[in-house]
Amino acid sequence: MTAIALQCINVSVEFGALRAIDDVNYDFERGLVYGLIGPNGAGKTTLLNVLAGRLLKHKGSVLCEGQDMSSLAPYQRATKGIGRSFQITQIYPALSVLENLRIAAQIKHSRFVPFWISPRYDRQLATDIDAMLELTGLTAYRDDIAGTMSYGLQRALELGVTLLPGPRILLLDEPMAGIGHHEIDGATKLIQTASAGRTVLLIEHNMDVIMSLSNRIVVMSNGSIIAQGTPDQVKADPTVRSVYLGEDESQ
Amino acid sequence: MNVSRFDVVIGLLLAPLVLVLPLVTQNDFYLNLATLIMIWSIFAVGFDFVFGSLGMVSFGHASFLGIGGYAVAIVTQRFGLPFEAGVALAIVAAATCAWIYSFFALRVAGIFFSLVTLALSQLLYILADSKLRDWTGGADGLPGVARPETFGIDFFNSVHFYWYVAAIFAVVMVVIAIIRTSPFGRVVMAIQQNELRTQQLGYNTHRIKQITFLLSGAISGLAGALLASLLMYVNPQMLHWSTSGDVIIMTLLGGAGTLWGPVAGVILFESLKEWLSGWTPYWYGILGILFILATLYFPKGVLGEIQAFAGRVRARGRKP
Repeated sequence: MTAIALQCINVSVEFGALRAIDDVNYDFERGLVYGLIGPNGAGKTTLLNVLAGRLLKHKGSVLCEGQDMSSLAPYQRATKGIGRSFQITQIYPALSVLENLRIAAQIKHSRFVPFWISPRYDRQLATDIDAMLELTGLTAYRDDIAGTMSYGLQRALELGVTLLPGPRILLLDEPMAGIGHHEIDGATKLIQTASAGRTVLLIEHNMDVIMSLSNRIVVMSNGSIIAQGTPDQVKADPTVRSVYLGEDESQ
Repeated sequence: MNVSRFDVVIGLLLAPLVLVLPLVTQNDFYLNLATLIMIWSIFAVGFDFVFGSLGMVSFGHASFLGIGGYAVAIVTQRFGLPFEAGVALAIVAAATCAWIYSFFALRVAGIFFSLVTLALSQLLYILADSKLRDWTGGADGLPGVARPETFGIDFFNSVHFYWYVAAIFAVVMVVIAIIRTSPFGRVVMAIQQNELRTQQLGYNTHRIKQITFLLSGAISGLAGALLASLLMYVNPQMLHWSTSGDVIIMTLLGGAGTLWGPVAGVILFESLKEWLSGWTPYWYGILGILFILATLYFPKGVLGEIQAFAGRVRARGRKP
């Protein structure tokens, strides 16, 4: 087992004339939380898409725990232990919270999905699901239809669904986008718990949150990584201040 | 999630009707109509596995029905094999056809999926109608399709054949009910709701769609074999696109994506057809108007609306 969880080697992405990602080289160490920051259009989500396999047309290669996975489809990367949450909530809106979590829990228990109802199989799932309901604070909402819940609860469910397959690497795209002020503390704690023992790439616009959650901050601008380091180092970096932090304060 | 209480109740209501009918009437017309309804129900329920559960509008399911019909006819007539072997081969042939279609059709989504399945099925129709005349009898079809001969029972007797089909219908409904609520069935419905999320969880959604299509084709092939046996005749009409259209209409009428909805749709469609065609040659037009009204006022289908209503009543009972 290598100490590097994810590796980007000479990764470039072009959308027509636009270079969304410009020759990125970076090693993500196992067990650390990386906060990705940068102005809109810096290439943060594009980088997540490259790592999750949603964007296969890129130059360079991406390695997961030392193995080249550049040509693997998203579902293959998921089975290798990469979990992904989305900026726009991706849950099953017409299903109940319980059913949402059950579909996520199934994948951990079997590669082959059975055609018959097995009470034993469902009991195995139930143990995992109950633990996740507890963790995400959704126990009271287990029978609610996901699409009718408040936005904050839907974001919590999105995280629960992402976590249930048991990923070793988490790609979280603005997990707190659009949730209310009073929900931020709870969500921060939840992400902190979820991050334990995992490698996490986190995109988040709330500076206080991302600085407190991350071990490393990676700053992107115009498709390149322009700075990286511990939160304190990055906060003190003059280039970062001019490119990003200054801009953000003025908003 | 087990089979829902609503589905069990409908099943328990329907079972006595199926059991009592041959005791009440020995009339060939009613028995044959009931047998036809059960066979078309098997087809519609199989079709709905792709249409309602997976959410893809296949306009090529006539192929699987027709292949089932031709397979049983050719196997029993040309090779002299027993009826059951014909049915088994009909299922395998239809499933194989569905598997082949899936390679082309699943490359595209939405309306293009419908168009590819339509094109492939019309291709098969033309082949059966003219190019493969030596095997299919061309536009004349193949008359004299066999009935089963199991245990030496005379299945040319309408009552006996009714029981034969009823037994298969019951087995198919139980199997479909189990698959729909199984872990596999859940993933099929998950793909319909959010394919992106389902992929990101680690499911090979393309493969699961392919398996669903194959299962749906296999069940349709079974229905085709039984239909050919009931009519004792198979012709290219079974492969025609209008047959695919009929099953879409029936399923929508009854309620797509529910267990019993397609069955309800077939009962409505076939009963109305028998009744209307008795007093006007324009029965198809009247059915069309009824279908338009139904989609406007019962968008979830007749049974789908009843199920939704029952769900609302239960929810109100739970939260006073």
